[in-house]
Amino acid sequence: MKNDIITRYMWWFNQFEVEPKSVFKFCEDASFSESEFYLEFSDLRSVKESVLVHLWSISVESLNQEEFYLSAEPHEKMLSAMYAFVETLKANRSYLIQAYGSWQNPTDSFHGMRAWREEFLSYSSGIGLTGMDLKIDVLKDKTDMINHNTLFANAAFVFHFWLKDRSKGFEQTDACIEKLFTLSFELLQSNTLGKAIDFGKFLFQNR
Amino acid sequence: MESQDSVIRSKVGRAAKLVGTGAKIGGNYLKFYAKKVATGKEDRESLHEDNAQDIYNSLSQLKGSALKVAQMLSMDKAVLPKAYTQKFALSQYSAPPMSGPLVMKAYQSALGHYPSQDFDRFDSKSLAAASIGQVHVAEKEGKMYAVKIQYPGVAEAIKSDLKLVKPVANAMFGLPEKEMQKYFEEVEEKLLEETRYDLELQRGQEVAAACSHIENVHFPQYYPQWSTSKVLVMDLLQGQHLAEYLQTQPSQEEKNQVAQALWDFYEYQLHELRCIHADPHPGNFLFTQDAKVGIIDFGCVKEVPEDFYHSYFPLLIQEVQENPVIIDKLMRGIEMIFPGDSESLQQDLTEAFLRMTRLLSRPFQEAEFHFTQDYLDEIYEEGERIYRLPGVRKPTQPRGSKHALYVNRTYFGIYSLMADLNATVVNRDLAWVDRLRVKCNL
Repeated sequence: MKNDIITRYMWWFNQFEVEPKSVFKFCEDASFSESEFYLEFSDLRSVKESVLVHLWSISVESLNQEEFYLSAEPHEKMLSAMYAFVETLKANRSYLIQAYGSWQNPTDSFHGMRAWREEFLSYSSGIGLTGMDLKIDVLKDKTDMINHNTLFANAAFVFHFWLKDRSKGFEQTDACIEKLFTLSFELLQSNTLGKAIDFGKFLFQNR
Repeated sequence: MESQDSVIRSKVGRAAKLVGTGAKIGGNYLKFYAKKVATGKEDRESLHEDNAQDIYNSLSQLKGSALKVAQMLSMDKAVLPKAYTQKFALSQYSAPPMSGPLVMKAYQSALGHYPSQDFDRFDSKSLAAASIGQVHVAEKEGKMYAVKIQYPGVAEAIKSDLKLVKPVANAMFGLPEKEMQKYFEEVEEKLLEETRYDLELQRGQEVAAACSHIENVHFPQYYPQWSTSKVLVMDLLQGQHLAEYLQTQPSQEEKNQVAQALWDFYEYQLHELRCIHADPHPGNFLFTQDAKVGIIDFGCVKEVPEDFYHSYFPLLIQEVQENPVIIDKLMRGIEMIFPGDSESLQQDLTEAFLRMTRLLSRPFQEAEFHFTQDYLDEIYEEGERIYRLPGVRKPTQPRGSKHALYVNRTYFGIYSLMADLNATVVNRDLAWVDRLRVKCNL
């Protein structure tokens, strides 16, 4: 049911080039009734927010049937998920351009991405991706949060990049993913922040 | 992360890389002069070695055409000092791979599904780098396949790369950019062709069909149903690269047999098909224990135009080499001398070119010919002598037809394969000599 609502939402947007004005209008002639709508969503805005969550989830689900994905290292899983994600996006490009194409910069997107962000963060910690570790227990949760949020910022950037990508088959987006994520993995693993803190501690103790 | 993921594809990144190399090479030269001042001796060998190391290090981190240029330079041993070619020879075998997920994605983008739908097993670690892509092993119903996958965005990267390599190459050959233009165009065209795996598949099939009668060579079968312009699936051929093959100490008969196979293959392509496999680097030949050769990679195929063929190849015939009138005509035909050249320059160039041609045509003069390293060294020496000629070193115009570029490269490649094999080849079919003789009214 949830998927039907989301699919219809995208269809509506493509068809009429505006957001539906009311749930009543939206449910007219649909395969679900207004009351069924409210079982899943509180309003149309939350449907809009769920679109990216939905696209992300079906990308990851499609990977869950692939042997190479199941046996991959966490950082490879993350890369695979991103590649699968942009592939899913491709099938819905018209809608996504309509709905998000007017963004000027990646930060505009954070507002409409809250739900996707949560989904992404839970995925990112779920695959056992570890990044920098400051070896300070009280900061453990904080650093984990920084790790996963950094990766989400990458994902949001890629999404934005893809919206503007005009290369054939969006292969520049693929290149963007490969570069950006591997760069982040390396930065997070090289423990730069740990070293900065270490140096700060040293200065604090000696001056 | 073992595999090097940081492919430098942005123009800025690439430029920085090459500039960095330039700076390092500059440093090597300083070292060379410091040493010279300190010891009073010239240590050119170690200078070249340092430079080759630095050039290799930076080129091997660049994918695509820069690697390709490295390969081309490494084939052309006659132009580059030894140390350069040895380092570049390494680049023929391996370059850092793309990440596993990107391979999967590239396959999926090209074919619409993951390899698991087509194959029982697919190795996400690459078997070898193929300069604009990489090769993966796959298996289906017990049969092994080689799957070549192209780096995403490589075709776009080539033009911007060549622009960056140009100044380096110009400095290396000492020619101003404008004069090198037609050669670069030829290289660019060939490089862009190589990004079209559909073309490679078609050519591979054509050549295999046309050359099926040639003894002791074989070709992989190609699979159009699994191939696109970015993914190419063929049989995984068994066999070893030349260096490994030679370590198994094949007998002289075996070496002669594989050399003969290659010789016949190239003679037939050039003189009958007028279309040659123009990438004879060692990675493209797989030698087997029963003295047969598998030939792969038809990405770089040079079609030899009629005009060029009839101006260039008569020069290999002895009677032509002794006939000044015909020579003069041919030299103009292949753009070696121009109407504006002074009498003495014309003479110098013709003489030098003829000396080289006599040397290069030696394998065709007798019924059979034995290739040795000495013969090859003679060619290199002659090449360096020509390079030092005033008209060549300080050129006023580009000399030589652009078509000669890939034809020469191919023949240098084959000659050095033959010399490495230390083999004797038999000229079984010299019908082309008679045909050309008639054409020249001899």
